[in-house]
Amino acid sequence: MPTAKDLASLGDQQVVELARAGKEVAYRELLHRYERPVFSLIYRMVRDHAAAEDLAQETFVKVLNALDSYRPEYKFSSWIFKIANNAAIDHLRRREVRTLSLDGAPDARTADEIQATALQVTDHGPNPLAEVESRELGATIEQAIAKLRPEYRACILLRHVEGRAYEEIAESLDLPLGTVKTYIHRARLELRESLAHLKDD
Amino acid sequence: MDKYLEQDELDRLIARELSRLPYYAPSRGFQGRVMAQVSLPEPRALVVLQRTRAWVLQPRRALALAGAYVACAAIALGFAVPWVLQHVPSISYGTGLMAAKVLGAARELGMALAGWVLTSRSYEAVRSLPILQEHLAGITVLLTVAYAAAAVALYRLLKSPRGKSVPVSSAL
Repeated sequence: MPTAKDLASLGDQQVVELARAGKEVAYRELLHRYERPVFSLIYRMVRDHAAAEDLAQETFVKVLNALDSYRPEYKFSSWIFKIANNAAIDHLRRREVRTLSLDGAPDARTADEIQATALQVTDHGPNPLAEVESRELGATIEQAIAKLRPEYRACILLRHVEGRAYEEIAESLDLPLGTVKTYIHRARLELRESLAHLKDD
Repeated sequence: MDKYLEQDELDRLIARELSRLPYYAPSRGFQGRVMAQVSLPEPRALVVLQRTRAWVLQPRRALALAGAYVACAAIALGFAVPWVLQHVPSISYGTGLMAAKVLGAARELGMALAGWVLTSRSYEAVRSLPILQEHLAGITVLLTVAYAAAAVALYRLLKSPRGKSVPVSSAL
């Protein structure tokens, strides 16, 4: 019986194989590996904590219940990001949210809703001053990302936050490689425009 | 020049800050909520055990019928196997004779078909076509290409309606 510690050193494909064989610990390992990346991608796409959580949950339930139909010639990460991105895009189509508010989602009315939907940076640095600066800069970047078109946003997040290769992004988003490169280029141009004031600071 | 340097510096700053963006975490209990909706496949050994248990728990009449069926098969095999072993030479002779007859019939049928084709009017019409020997190579190439194109078209026709094999959409 493999433990979570044993699984940590295995590749995604091997963990998937164990999950297919009915090992619950392998399911939990996949969840543990992709919980934050998938949630972060969806959250940055939809900018609503509750909705992001529902969509992330929907993504994982779909993926984990369909492991038998997963084809190993594709990267597991591409597969899961594809489903997560589709869920986020579908949600955005249903309910278009245009602007990001660091103080909470635009539809948040009560204090609890504002608190729940506010962007919160969880990874704090050791130096308090650097941490404040980094948080301010991070928040500015988050705002600039939020202004991008959803397609550009997904591409730039997968490229720079997740560090995925262009080919993998194309596979994940079901787009031609050339389109991915164009989207990333345009996203960079828009970010450069939005963040031009940084070079003066 | 300074403008380009500034732009380059800004690009690097953006790329660096993007890669430093933190991950957000879902609320506590997320894993539990997901796992509650996931149906785990049962291990093979457990499936076999469950099937055996279900079989054993069948009503007595069904078990009696299954037992009688197995007994009949065992008795029949008890007679059949020694008989086959005793008559192996004649069985193999008979099988060989039968195979030779089938082959002979197939050969005769083939010959009849060839004769019918060679004496048909269509064959004469094809033979009398004014095709020069130097055109033969070109015609052969043309026919090969057309046949390959037809194969490709057929393959595309038989593929999924989206025309691509995408694991996610097919899986979900």
